[in-house]
Amino acid sequence: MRILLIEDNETLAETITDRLTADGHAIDCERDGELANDLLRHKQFDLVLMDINLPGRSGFEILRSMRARGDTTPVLILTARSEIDDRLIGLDGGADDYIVKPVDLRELAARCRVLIRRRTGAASNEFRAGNLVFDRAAKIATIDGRDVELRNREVQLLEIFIGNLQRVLTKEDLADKVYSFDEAPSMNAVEQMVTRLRKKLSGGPIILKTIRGLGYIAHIAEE
Amino acid sequence: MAVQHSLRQRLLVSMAAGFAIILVSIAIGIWSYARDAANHSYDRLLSGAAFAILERTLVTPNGPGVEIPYSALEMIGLAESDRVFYRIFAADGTTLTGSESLPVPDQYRPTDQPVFFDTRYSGEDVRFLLQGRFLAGAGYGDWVVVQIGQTRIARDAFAREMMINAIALLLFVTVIGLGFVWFGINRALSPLIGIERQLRHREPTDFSQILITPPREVASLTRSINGLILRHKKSLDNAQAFIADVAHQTRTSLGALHGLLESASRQPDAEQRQVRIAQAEEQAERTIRLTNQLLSHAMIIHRADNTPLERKVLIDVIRAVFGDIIRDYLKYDTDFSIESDGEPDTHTYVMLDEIGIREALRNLIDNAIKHGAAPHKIDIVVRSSGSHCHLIVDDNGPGIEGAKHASVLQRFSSLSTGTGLGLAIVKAVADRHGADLNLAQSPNGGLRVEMVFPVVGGAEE
Repeated sequence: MRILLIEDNETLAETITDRLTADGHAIDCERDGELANDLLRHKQFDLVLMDINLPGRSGFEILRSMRARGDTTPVLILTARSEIDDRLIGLDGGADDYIVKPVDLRELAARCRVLIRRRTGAASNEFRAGNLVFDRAAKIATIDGRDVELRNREVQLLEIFIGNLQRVLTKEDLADKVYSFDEAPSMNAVEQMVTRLRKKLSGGPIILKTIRGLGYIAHIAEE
Repeated sequence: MAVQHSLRQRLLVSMAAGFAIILVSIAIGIWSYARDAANHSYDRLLSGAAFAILERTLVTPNGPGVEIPYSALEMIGLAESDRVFYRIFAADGTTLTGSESLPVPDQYRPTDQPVFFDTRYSGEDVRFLLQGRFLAGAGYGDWVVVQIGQTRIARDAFAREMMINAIALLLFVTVIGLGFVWFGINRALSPLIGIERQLRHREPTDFSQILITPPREVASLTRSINGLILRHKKSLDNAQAFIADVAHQTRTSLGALHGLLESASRQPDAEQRQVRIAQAEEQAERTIRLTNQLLSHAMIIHRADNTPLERKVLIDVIRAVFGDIIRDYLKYDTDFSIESDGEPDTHTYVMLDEIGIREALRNLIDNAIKHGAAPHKIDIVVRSSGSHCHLIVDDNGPGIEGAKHASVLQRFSSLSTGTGLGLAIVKAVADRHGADLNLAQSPNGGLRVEMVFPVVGGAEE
């Protein structure tokens, strides 16, 4: 995957580049906000990692102009400020995720994977994670090459979870998306559906975690 | 400074307004007094003249007659610019002598008392006097009336002059009065100015009390300022202690990291080197955690001073922030639950800082996972009990002995390998919300942390 890293601290930029290169990504590194903004105008990346405090142009400004152009490349913000209000601005302003410095490289790599997966999950017909392959067009999921038999609603549900990795989804969210207005499902039905899907996906990397009293969150098990 | 000026100005303006009102009412009084006085003196002249003329009326064989003494009219004519009119007439209205057209009020009945009135005549304001005399003899017995008029020019000039003199005197007194007020205000404000001067010339490091024996009215102000200085000093002392702690912790942590890396680089044995590097990595992770927590703690303290609390429903806030927190803990085998006993439509509101709540929750979860063994179980319960709202976080970790509950809330007092900041942050958040913080044994076997928030505004909707 092609990643643009916008970070003015050289040491941090180097270590991040090393780490992500080791994961098999191609990293372009840019230190100046203005130049990075120009670069983004002309080149398409799969993921953008950026600092907020940058020389030339702030990360927020870059993000805003990206989104204004209709550029939907996922953006992960690296922020040195622990003032979390900034993060909210970032997310509201169209960032897909943030990570607070000092950055834990393993955590960063994991977040990058999630974003790239979310993106490929949404953009292409095929989603791959570990031994799981999900062909959205054919509505077929396989684990280790074996078919996972999914009903229509379960396919929809899987799509929703893949599109919202690491985001909490309430039962109401799921019901809204899977059922039509007149079907008026019980929350029990949603629960059972998730339980069935979880059982069918066992052995695969996608984990559907239940948070009692809140909802579900899907994530990809590492390794 | 601006406030100081405006106070002085305000006092002066209100005083001046008071003076102006007094001045106007006195001026009105003086004007009517001056008019009366002018009338009084000039009326005497008119009376005198009328009297002199009436004395010279007599009954002749042809009826009443008069011989006007010119001295009488001259007496009135002393006022140079005024014109004089006169007429002497009998009770039946026949004019004996003088201008026939002089106006007489309709209701006038002849009497020997002088009657004065003002009216317009021949284009001027004229003061008239009517006075009668009953003539008897030679078969005649009836009233003869003398009417004398004089324009008001001299009287009005006299009244005006009196008026102007009086007002000039009043203005003079007013100015002097305002001068006294100005002086008085300055004197009254001088203790405040003294306080201001003391504060302005103060070194930033000077936290001594203000030394002025203030008048009673500003004593409480001085006390408040002194109280503020004291609190400020205390908070600065705290901040300094905190910075010293932070410096120590950070240095120690970075020193350890540096030491591990150095020892790794000097290690000839590859296997040993790997061990050192793994240790260094662990240490780096601890340092990152420490730094994040220090910043989080500093942020909580900072927000306490700068960000107002918002009126919110606790369970809504917990649900909202939890989605953000949980992403960091997905890799741990943890069973989370969030439970609220509140009916959804009887919301109890609490004054909250959402970010503070998030940091507290994050640190509690962090502690539970750091100190406990997998599988973790963390139950978050929001319970309301009338006037209070309880946030309870139960874990299944090792728990904390009752005797140590007080000490673990202190900064940098860790029981094992932690930074010793987690619960201190929770404590800071509780303090910021005016919430009680209780530690207890959790039914899950670990620690129960309970924050008790006061409910505001009761139920709504």
